[in-house]
Amino acid sequence: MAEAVAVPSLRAVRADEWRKMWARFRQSSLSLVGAGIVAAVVAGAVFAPVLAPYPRHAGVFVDFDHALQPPSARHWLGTDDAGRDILSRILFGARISLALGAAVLAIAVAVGVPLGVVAGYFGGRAGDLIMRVTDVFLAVPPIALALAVTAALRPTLSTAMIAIAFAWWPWYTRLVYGQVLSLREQQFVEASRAVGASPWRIAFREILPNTWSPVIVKVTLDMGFVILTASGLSFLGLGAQPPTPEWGTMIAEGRNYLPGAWWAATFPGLAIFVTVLGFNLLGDGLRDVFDVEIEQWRAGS
Amino acid sequence: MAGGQLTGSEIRDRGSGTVGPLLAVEDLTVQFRLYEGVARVLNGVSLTVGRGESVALVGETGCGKSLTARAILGLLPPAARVSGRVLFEGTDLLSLSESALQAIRGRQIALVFQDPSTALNPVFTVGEQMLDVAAWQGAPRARLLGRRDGGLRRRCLEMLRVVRIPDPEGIWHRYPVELSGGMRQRVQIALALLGNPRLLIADELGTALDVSIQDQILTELLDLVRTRGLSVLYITHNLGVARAVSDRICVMYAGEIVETAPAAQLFSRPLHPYTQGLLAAVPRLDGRIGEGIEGRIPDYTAPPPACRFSPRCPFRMEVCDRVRPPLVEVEPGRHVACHLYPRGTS
Repeated sequence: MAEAVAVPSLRAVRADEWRKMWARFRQSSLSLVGAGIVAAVVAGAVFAPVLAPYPRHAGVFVDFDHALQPPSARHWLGTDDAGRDILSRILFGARISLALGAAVLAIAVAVGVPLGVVAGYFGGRAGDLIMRVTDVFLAVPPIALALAVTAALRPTLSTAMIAIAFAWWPWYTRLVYGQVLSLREQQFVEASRAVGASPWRIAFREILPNTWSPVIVKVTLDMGFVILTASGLSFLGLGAQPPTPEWGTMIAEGRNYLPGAWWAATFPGLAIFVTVLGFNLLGDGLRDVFDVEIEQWRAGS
Repeated sequence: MAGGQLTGSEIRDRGSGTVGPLLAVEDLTVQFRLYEGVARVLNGVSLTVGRGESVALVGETGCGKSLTARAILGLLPPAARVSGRVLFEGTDLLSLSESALQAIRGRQIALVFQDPSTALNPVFTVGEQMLDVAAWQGAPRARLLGRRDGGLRRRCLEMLRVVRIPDPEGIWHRYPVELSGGMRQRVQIALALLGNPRLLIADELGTALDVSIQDQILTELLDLVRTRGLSVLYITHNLGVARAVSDRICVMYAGEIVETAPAAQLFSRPLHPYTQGLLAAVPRLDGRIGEGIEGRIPDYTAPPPACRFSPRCPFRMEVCDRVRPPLVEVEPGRHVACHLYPRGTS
């Protein structure tokens, strides 16, 4: 005989879960600010052609008659040394920064996470090798490593992307490795061995899905840092090249006119600052949500 | 799978026609090398499980019951040094490769775990987990993804019905955390049965549940065992459970089998001093607390030289510290490892 319990409908239960997660997220108003900023940046990037007052200014365009004009009703954030509208360029720059951040993190996750799973679950010599290589990479600051790689290759936006991804994957290997080490001792792993699952199936089908929530949190937090790093490389002339409206490149171009035409460098800088801040706040909020979930799993009820 | 009651001969005929027990563990020894020395945690364990037979392995915590179960399935940590033989259908499992063992686990021998809350993967719904297991039970090298097969789904739902889950469709999309302990235990049994195993090893089944739910689960399992002709090895520290569910009981102490007997006989007339002590320690319904056995399980790195129970034994003799008592048949069907019972008498 089974216990007769009134069970709420599945849809009600799932809806309730989302409400609970939302409530946890909402507890901190900073998380909401972060989510708002990220939403605004993403919207700005997606709708840049519509929102930008002068879409043509994002590309090759010169209008020296209107060079270095201060913020005004026509040019809300002023113009740069070639007379291009800075607001328009910042909006298009958001596309580049977000796309680059997403690409870098996709590569870092695709490379780093499987390596972490292998090192954590199988261990042994291969695991040691993976983790020691990871340690070497982690010992070098990512920006320095990325600088070295871009300097060795041609300085373009895609080499900057590869260089940053090259410096970033070890963080995911390390993160997932730690998770897998504790997950492999869980009883459900032994239980799946007991029903005849192969080691690869256990590693990638049973354990890996349990590591997603910290990975998602880290991706969100890292998004800001990757954008910052990419802008740093571009600022140093090792990433995007003019006239690409990359925020770092724009600062590099505008700094020659500081402090007089302060807007040319300041507004792209603010764009980076706000975006990085937004992703950090959002990541913190997501961590609050996921940490509770993880605790609940571990408690097993 | 036919649902009807199988007769004794059908049970014996199921599978290959090999004679002899389904599972025969012979002189199984497991050692771990520790800083303090070598711990011989299983010291020559021998036991058999016949076709269609239910055997209980009983002993206090730390005596090596669960370790025996894991050793049978080859699930010990790599540091364990194992010797002896584990004959399943005449094949020595200890000599098999890991991939050959994977084909046995779940399909021939399945293990159900003590704690139903941690033995299910928390991030998959019941349905996903069942489909997954069902898919790879059908084919050892089933694809990792893609299990959209109506037949598999029907089989899984049927299995959930077999373990008496009242609304299989209803729990299909639930996560383990959303189920009660009893439901989780049932799902786990369903998962174990998906591969249609011949031997089920139940490690402290239901111990983590309420007594009433545990009772339900055990009764249901007993029914399943009878209708399907399954052989079962129950591992438990609870003598009452052992008596209720098994035909035969093996009593384990400090990594050794000290007594085996048909369940009823063990209770009516325990032979080994340890078994006697265990039975005396069971609390009575009239409110008397049973008397415990003095002392505790010995240190495995420095066990008593001969009989491992001797330091706690009220009948300790001089020979007990010199000669390890072998497990001998003192009456038909009753084996005891104790110097109090010379071979063939009692």
